[in-house]
Amino acid sequence: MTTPRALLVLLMMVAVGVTIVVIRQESAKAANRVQQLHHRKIVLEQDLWSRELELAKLRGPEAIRDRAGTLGFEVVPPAASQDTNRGRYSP
Amino acid sequence: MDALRSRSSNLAAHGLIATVMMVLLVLVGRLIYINAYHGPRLLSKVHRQQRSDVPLQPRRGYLVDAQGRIIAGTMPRKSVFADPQLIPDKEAAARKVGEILGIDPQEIVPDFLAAGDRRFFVIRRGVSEEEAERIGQAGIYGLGVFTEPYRTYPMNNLAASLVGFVSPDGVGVSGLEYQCDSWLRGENGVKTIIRDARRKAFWLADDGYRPARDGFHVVLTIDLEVQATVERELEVAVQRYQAESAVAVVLNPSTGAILAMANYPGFDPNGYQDYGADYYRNRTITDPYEPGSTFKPFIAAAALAEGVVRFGEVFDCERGAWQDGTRTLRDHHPNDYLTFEEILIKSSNIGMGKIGKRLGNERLYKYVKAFGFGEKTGVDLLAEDPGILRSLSRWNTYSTTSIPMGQEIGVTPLQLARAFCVFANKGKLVKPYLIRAVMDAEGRVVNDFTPSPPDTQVLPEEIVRLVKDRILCEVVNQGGARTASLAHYQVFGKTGTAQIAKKGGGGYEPNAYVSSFVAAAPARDPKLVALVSVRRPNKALGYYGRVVAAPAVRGILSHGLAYLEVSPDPISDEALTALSEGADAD
Repeated sequence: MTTPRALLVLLMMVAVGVTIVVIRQESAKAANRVQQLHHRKIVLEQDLWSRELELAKLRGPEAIRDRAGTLGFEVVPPAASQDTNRGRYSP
Repeated sequence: MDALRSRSSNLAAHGLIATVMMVLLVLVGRLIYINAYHGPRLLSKVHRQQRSDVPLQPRRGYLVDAQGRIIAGTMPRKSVFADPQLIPDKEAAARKVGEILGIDPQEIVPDFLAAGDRRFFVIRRGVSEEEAERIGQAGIYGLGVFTEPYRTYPMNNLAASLVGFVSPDGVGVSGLEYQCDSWLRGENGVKTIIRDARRKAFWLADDGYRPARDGFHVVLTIDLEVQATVERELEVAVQRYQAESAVAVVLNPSTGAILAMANYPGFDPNGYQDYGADYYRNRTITDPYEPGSTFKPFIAAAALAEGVVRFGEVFDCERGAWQDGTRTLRDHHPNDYLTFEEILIKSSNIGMGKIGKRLGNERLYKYVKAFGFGEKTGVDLLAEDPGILRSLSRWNTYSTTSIPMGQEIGVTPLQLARAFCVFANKGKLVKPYLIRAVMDAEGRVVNDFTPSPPDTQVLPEEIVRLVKDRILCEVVNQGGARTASLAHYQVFGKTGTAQIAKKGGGGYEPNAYVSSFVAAAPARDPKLVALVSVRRPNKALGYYGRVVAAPAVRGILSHGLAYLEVSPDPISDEALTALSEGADAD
């Protein structure tokens, strides 16, 4: 084997080494990105939970009644607001 | 010369290659040696240094009402933790943490010292964003902030005794939270993180991610709108009559679905520690009581079904005092003669005693059992009490007259409401239920608990119709329960004012009553059955069921029927005429 050939072999070995390092670096970057995305997903999920609960509070009967009261609406069922017996059932 | 130079060059190249090969061979050999002899040990060491398993907590499932409103939910909160072994100066750390969180440092230091080998010690749960940020900025080695799910109840007191609560660790310890824990809690996951030299999370290990399975959601039959109305009515009744407590149950009589189940006073599960254990109890299923007059319709209907009485039959009600053997039965309001219907409308104890005698103990017992008394209703709730019904062999001649007027028997509010459903469901006995379905986190139904239609016929349909239309409607229209009548719907029901038996037996407590009213509406096709029982109202302010409990039931039915968009009863011809005459006059 001549010196140029030997150098070529060494050069190729270095190239393979560099490629491995680059691939390793890229996969590390990708894994790190996955890790960040996973963390972000958890944060967003938790944000969603909080918003679901906020919405639940707003949908609660007492909250609706309070809000309607604040807006000046009287939340009274129609039947209770009447005092006539015109709908009396006769068996 | 050139040949000599070329040869020595080749030799040098060969020598270099041979040297490289030798070095590589040695390295490979060393690699094989290390792998073969120290591989497992070194690998585990590497794993210890680089990999760490982080548990992934699932979200605890929600408890939702029939309309999907969240009654119990889960949200994240930030908590401060410490690894006492890593803290170099515990007192300085305690001072700093105490300053940020407003805690006396002397409270924290003993905890740090007592933590021993524990590597994870929660200092405070649920800190604010600002406090969490300040803890992070303080940069105390061994201290940190983590996010954890925690249970919250956005409706506060609403349906609290039903829902229950969880421990600080998120384990159900009371009510449905306890009962449905296996569905709600989900399964832990884990992620394996590769860390860099500074122990900073770097990436996820290839095989290191098993996601948590979030808990299932439990869908209840409760409707929070109805529940809120019920709780409001109970609060008003208890406060107006200075009562000790009150309970209420609202059922769909054709399916047995429980639309509301309430106890007053209740508690806020968000701060359950502030209340005594007595508040946690769901008294609608745990506390039997003597039903008093609310029990009379069951016996009257049984007597009709057995043909021992007939409509219009007149009974001598002995002017309010009847000597039966060694016992004297009394009516609150003395009557001379009452028809069978009037006995119920006027709620005569003497009349019911006489009807009981016609039935006899065996038939009485048979019907009491058939209505589901003396045994659990089978509702999907733990801790249900079967009520108190002595075996037939222990009944005596007193029982024959006591049982028909709702004494000598203990029933739970749920049992009573369920039995009343027979009058609202063509004589069929329903099985009450509260859990409608279980869904996974994506909303797919895992279990559907909707029951099949009831098939236990307790009374003939015709008897039920007659009792409902000719007696129970009249209790509301002209009897004691006029306070429960509604403008657009015909209500039917029965009041009850029962004395509270002394603990350990031996008679009744003076001036201590349970005022009840059980009713359903609309009579033509009942959609709701509601029971309200108010315990120990102040006698000076009122204690009859028609005074204390009937208005609450009226409010519940009025709001509930309107909310459920039940069409009003047809307008009668007379009412139409009156209306048109009124319009003409205008």
